[in-house]
Amino acid sequence: MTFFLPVAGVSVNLFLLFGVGGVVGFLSGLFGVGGGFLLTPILIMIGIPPTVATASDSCQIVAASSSGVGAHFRLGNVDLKLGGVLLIGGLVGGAIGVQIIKVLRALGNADFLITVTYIVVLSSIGGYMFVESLQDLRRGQMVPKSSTPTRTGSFLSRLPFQMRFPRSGVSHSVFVPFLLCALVGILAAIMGVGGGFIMVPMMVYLLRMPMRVAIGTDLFQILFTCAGITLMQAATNHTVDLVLALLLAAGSTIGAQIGARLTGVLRGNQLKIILASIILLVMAKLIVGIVQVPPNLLAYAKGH
Amino acid sequence: MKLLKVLSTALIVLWLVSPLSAADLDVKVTPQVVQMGAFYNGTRVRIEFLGEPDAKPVLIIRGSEAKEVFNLKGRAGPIWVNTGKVSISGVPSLYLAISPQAVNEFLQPEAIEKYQLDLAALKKQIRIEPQEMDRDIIRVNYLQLKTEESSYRFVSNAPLTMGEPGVDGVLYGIDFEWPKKAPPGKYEVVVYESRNGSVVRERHAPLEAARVGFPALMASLASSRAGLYGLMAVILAMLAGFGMDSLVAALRRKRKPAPAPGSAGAASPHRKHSPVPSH
Repeated sequence: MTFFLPVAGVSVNLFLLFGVGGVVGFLSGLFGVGGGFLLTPILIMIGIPPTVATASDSCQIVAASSSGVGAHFRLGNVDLKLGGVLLIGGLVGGAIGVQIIKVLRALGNADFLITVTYIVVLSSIGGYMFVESLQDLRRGQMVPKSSTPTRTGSFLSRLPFQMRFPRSGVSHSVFVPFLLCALVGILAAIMGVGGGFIMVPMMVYLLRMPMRVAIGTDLFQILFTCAGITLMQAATNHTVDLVLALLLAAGSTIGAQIGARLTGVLRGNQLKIILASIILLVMAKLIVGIVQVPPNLLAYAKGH
Repeated sequence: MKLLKVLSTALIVLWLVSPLSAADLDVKVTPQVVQMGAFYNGTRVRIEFLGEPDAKPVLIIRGSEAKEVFNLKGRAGPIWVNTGKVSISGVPSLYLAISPQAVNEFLQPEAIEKYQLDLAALKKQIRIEPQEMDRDIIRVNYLQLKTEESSYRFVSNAPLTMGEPGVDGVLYGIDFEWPKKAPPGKYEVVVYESRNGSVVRERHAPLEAARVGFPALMASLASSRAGLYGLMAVILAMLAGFGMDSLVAALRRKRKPAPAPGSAGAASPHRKHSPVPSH
């Protein structure tokens, strides 16, 4: 059964979109990632113009993350207070990142720098997360870690505007999550990805949040970030295909529910090791993609 | 007066249902407008024209010419990255060439080049900016890209139907599948009639692909009321997400009987997580 997409101008199979949406929504609910890294290339492969695929993907993420946030909220996995600070930090960082990318492009060879940054960041995060989770799993789980504060910990606890985040069970100066999230926002803007891959590990390792709360809270901030992107894309580029987004959402909202439920079944370390594996796979695919001779030297430019 | 109305209506009906004759349009395209409704999944197009009995026709369907911008990949050390942008113009957005046999079997190379009837002829028309780039590589890659996405297609064994020879010639007809991925827009059908290796006649007809019904409404909203459309997209996406979540929650509540008042489960509807980080 096919449906003609009004803005994309192509006919697509309904069940295909439902299935693809379901898989991406599942990953979103389970790991707190937007899923754009997977969905946009698939949509382009199906025949959706790249600009429409990118814009409609963000609209679909709004639906999937709404579903995931709802499920995580009921499970007690969303820290609204910390999520608000992260959201503001991410937006500020994103705006700075856009300006940096403009400067880099003017200097030339920006794409080389972006690609290398992407690989370094993903391999560091994925590698560290993978090794650390593997060691924890081998140790037989949950060996209590030293409660003696480190030098960095002591320094952070002396910073002004300390705030308690009861849902995450942590206390931080408001500047810590704000600045870290701004940094992720800058990286996300430079690398052209939503930031879920960087944000969740950052929340777990640097803000010391429980994995499940990090996932739920990340989905909360992704929801608002992607809502903003959808509005901007619709207003400036006219490339949001609402029908495409809603057809994908029919699958992704269900997938997100299943993924969110599964976070309650899997242990924190198991979730971390699966997410680390996905990050490393994405990185491997990226490396293969840039080393292999491309099948065509031309690719439609975004915004075209 | 009434009689005149009836007569004129009858004449119009007769004109519409009558077979193609010399007085008709030179080329008849059916349908003239490819209607892209909600369940559109490609369609068959029939093109009819009158020609000499021994003529060899070539049909070309061209999209409008528009400048396209591409990222050009190049090597930077061991890796392939975007090295710049390239603008390509001078060639149609869509190009379909339909003939009963390969054009080089019945047309001379000069005619093929003059009327742009093969890839080599199209390649010469490609304009590239900035001009200092390696043009040949870009042209080859552009044609490869267009062929792979079926925007440029050559059908050299199209079944050509021929009617009985009449006073005005023979009625030729060709049916073909309109490309599913051809975007809405105005296209031009050109029929080249050839004899002895040369094109002896050239006729044109318009063909349009247009959104109708629900897709037309949505596309018009997306372009003419972009802000409202964006807001609607966000609200509907949120409603879909939270709606699905509420539905799942309601189903789960229905499955699980409510705990008795005073029991431990009744005190907290949510599963509490430990405030202590698990790592």
